[in-house]
Amino acid sequence: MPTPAQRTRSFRKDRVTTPGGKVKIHYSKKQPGIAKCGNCKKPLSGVPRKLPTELKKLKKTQKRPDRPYGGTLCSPCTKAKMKSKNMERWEND
Amino acid sequence: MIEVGRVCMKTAGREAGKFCVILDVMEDGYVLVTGPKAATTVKRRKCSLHHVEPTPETVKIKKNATDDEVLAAYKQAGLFSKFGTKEPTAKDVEKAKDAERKRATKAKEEKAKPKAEKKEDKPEEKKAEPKKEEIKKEEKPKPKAEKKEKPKAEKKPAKSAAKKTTKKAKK
Repeated sequence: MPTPAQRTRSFRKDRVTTPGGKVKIHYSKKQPGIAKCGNCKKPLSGVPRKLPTELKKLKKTQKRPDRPYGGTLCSPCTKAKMKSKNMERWEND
Repeated sequence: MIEVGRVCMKTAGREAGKFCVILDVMEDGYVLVTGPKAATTVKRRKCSLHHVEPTPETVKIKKNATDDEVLAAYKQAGLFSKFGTKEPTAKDVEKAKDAERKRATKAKEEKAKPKAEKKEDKPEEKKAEPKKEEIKKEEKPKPKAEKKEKPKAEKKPAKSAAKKTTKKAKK
């Protein structure tokens, strides 16, 4: 029997054959999904795929690229966003 | 659109979304640019034209003007209010200048010193490592070779003898 904390679907179940020939189930936390761009849904580079407890141990610069919208938008999408912002800014003047 | 004195917005990197002024147009699609740093946090740097978006604003500046001249030109044009930023105080300007000086001195020291040290260090490590491996290699293979030779010599004849006996028995 697993411990009560492991009796959820958020745990992964690995079947392991022991040296005695029995099949046992090992429980481990599921890997979180890949971070994706909020606009084009492509996977982001520079954002680690780790559990939040492991992310806490990293430094701020290791968690996301150091630029506006870093970690939420990909680089071509930020470029397009900046260009559109620039256009809007000077339209009324 | 792209000329000396044109105010631009940077669209890539850590300075994306900040304003800067073109100081010089180089060949191969590059541009010299400053915020200056005290005003908009854009460093004085060489920059690709792909990373710069021009705005309708211009400023009267000479080619390769200093940061102080650019700040004075901003005041005349009244661009700080349009950027939505405050005028940098004298303290901010001094801070930015000091930081640049420190960076320049550090870069000079690093260029001068560590190259010579690294060259001296690396070959020593390389020399030291292979010696250990050589010693290990010399020690290890000898016993293995002895072990392998003995059992093979003993086992093979025994097996072959056993096979022969069985074959003979079958016959």
